[in-house]
Amino acid sequence: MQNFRKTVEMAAAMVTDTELLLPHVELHADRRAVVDGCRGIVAYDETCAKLNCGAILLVLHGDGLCMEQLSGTHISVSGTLVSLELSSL
Amino acid sequence: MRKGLLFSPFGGSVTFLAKGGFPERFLNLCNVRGIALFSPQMRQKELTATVRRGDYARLRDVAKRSGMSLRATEKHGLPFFLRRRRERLALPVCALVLALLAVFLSGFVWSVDTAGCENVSREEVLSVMEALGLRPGVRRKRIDTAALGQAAMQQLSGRVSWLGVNLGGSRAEIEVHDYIDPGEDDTFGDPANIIADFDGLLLSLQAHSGKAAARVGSGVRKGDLLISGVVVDRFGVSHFYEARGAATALHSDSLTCESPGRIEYPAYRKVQTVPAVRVLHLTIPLGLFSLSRDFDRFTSVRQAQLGGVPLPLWLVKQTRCYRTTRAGEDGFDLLLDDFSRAFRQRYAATNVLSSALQLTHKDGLYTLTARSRCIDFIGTKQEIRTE
Repeated sequence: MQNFRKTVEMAAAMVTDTELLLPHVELHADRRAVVDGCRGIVAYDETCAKLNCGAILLVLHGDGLCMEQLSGTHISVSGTLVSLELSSL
Repeated sequence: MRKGLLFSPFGGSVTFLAKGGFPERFLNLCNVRGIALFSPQMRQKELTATVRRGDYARLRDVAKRSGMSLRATEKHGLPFFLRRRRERLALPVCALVLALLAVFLSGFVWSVDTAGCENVSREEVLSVMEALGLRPGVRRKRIDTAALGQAAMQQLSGRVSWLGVNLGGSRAEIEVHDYIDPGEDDTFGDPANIIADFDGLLLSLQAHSGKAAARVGSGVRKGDLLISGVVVDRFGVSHFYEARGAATALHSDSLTCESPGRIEYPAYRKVQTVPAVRVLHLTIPLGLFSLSRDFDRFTSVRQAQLGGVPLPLWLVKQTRCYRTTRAGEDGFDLLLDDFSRAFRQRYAATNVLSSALQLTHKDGLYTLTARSRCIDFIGTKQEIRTE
């Protein structure tokens, strides 16, 4: 019984870890996008920001894009967002 | 996120411009090495961002690895400020002292002002509040505005309807709402007659309530009934009212003033004025007085202001008038002044028809007597006692 409980707990922990590895994207209208779980910047200029989010490549298109904050896996991009594109790496 | 929240002004920050190479690699390397970049902006392959002062040195290696050239464009914060002024340390030290002084002084009340005083004079309100402990120089923490307002209202009861103390920064404002008289009560009071309060010749009589008891043109003596509050109706039943009305009478009156023949007053041999500065309760004289002790002291105090804002600084002008032998003057001029002042006060609401003046000088005393014929309102209320 104890082995079974331990197995279930480990499985639950793995599920949680997997979920945490996925990126979390938060949009504030068309003014700001906050991304948690970003592993790196692939390309960045005033009109486009490509972010490596593990299994997903997140592409932000817009005008006057500016990275307000870059710390660890947390990125905040402000400007006038036009579109958001998700594709597999 | 705002830069101001992240960058302490005491730590300092550097804004830099990075050109060429691979900006994305530069950003990623910064991220991996834990160098926090704030507001990184890419414009025409040029990256602008801000880092903490301590992180700027670590950026050189990152720039080298990503093939970018680095140049600091702006430096902010206290360390850079001090470095720019390291040869004039007195300036930052003075700024620090002034800042500490401002923080210390902001704990005190600098000025006390009033608003809305009409029935009660501003000076009276300020003196009451000063007696209760609210005056310039008092610590703000010691002021209980609610208790002060209540205590002041008790002392000024009947003249103010509400009084409150508002503390705004270092300025205390006393807001006063005057007592509003609800007006004369139109209902009748206790039964009363109107009787003459001096001897004279009755010139007019109007009874608004009650019954006229004297005849116009007749002479009345002090205490004679003018308007009666007792009215008997046609059935013979007596009704009691509070008599009301107006009556005028011609009468003679005299006014006498006396003055000694010679007035002595102190004379001053020397007047010395020394300015002083008062900070809260501490007065610092900016000069020395003579050692003589026989003097009269006069002080004028003015609060310093900067752009209309009162400061916790008072400019004091202390004047000492050193006395010498007493001088004398004929008392007749003083008698005339006193007499004219008394005459104006006494006959302010009286029509004076004629006056005869008589001046006597006896035993070193001037006496000036005026006998006047005047028309004045006559009558005073006398309560009717019923059993």
